[in-house]
Amino acid sequence: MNAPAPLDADPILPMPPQIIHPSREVADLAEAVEREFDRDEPETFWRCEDAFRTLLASGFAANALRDELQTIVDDPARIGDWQPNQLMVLRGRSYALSVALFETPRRYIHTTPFYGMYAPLGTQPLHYDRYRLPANYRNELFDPSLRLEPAGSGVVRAGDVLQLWSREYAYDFHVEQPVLVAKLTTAPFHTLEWLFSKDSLRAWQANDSELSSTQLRVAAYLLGRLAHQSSLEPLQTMTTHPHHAVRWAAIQAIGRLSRTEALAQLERAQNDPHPHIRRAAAKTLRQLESRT
Amino acid sequence: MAITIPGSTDRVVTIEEFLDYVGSQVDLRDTDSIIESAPMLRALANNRTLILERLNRQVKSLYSRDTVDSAQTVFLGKGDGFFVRANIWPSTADISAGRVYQDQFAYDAAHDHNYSFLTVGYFGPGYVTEIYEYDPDSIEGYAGERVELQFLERVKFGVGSAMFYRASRDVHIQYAPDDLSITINMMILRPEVMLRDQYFFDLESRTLTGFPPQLDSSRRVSIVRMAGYTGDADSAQLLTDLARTHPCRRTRLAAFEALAQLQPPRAAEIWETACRDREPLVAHAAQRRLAALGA
Repeated sequence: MNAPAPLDADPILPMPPQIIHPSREVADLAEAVEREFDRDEPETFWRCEDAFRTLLASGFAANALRDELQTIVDDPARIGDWQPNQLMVLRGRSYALSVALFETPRRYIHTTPFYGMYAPLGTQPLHYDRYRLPANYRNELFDPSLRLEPAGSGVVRAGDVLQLWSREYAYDFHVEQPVLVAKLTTAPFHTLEWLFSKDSLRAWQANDSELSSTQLRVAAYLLGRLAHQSSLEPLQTMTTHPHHAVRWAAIQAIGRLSRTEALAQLERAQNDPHPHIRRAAAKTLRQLESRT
Repeated sequence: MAITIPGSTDRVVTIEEFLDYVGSQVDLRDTDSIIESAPMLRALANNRTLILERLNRQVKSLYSRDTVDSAQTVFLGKGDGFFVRANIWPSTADISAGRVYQDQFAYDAAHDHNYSFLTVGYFGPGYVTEIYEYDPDSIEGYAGERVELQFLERVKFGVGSAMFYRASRDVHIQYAPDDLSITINMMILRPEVMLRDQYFFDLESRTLTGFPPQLDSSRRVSIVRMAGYTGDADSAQLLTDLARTHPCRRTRLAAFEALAQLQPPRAAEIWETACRDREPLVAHAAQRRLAALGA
């Protein structure tokens, strides 16, 4: 059952680094990433590769898993910082380190809305296909007509590191045998995770890259349905959110609370950076005018 | 059977009053005592600003604290051995329009719960649910296993409806409501919850089809299995301890699997030990592994 204690499933939290499995090697990596990586300049992430390689050579994953086994032996009911097939090792302000078991292939090809370095652990190599994102791909602007272009395959063996160049490529991992993988990832820098069909390579759908965006959209809808004036101010704060769908959900909810404020927001939204919001705002304003 | 609790009240309480009441007046080990708290849960559901105030706070903080890992759940409060949350039940139209994702509470998928809970309708027309029961002691607990499921009732769970679901006994399947609906649930956290499984069922074939991956025991099993791919002698000893003593049968089976993965030359010996496990789930899996090894 999901723990009732305050928590957030996003692997990356806005808080000081939390070393879940303390060791000198993991602390060294945390220090290196804190020093080298600037979230506002995602490319600086690649400066952390040497520190990641040093960590890989330390056997940190075996140590972390052994620690987990010991805690389960000591307290059989204990639940650690576990996701399905994933053990969190370190949560930084804008990055995370985890160990994951790649066990089943994914149904779709997913874009990664973050940068990552993946390294297989153990004897099984990590096989992947790489696809170039379309030239006119804009993450925040989902377009089902876009298609991936095959851009080769690769194999990553123990001791090697695969850099996920997520702004240019999507990756599809083959899983014939389970592969244990160390993952060092940044916080998402894109608002959406796109899924592409493996058969047609066409864009299939897009999901929010961060749970909090989905939570905000659902909350906006609920607040609109509950329709209480006390929600007006919180909803107004959402209209400047970086995710266009969150902004639009807030405007829609405001429309259930205050016609005056909704009109003001729609006027403003005609200059929104996202074309779908601009179009939707203009269309809604036209509809409202035609009714009056 | 899942217990429908008749009644109504005009009383209104705050979440703090409700948490205090349960903490001081309810014996969470006693089903009757929990059921007797239904009028207070109804009084909580009469609080029309309960969800509103929580959501306003969450939106202001951009969901940076006190959240759970779902967009379909609103955490309301907790006490010793229980917690209270609101569950969001989107309509088919809500889902089609992308207003609410159907992330946690899959419709049209029969399932039990490994915890008991009391639930009351808060908003909207409510989902329709069909309720069945099974005997958890009669099953081994593997995907594909046939299960005796007895149909109990079909209920529309609207505002004011209250029901108590028994852990690992009541099975229900829910169908999307005609319009957005919200329930308020008090979940009972007995220690055994962390060790017990939750299942999905196929009502047509009357079989157990699997386990939610987010379940505590599923996540524990995955961690134990991961150790099989990168362990050492110390890990092997810990896996041996888990295989012998852990109270969860799926965890013991995972520990045997991880051990066999770590120590291939000892696989036959490991599975022979597993054959003597007290639970058929483990013993039968071990027999199949031995057969596959030709041992």
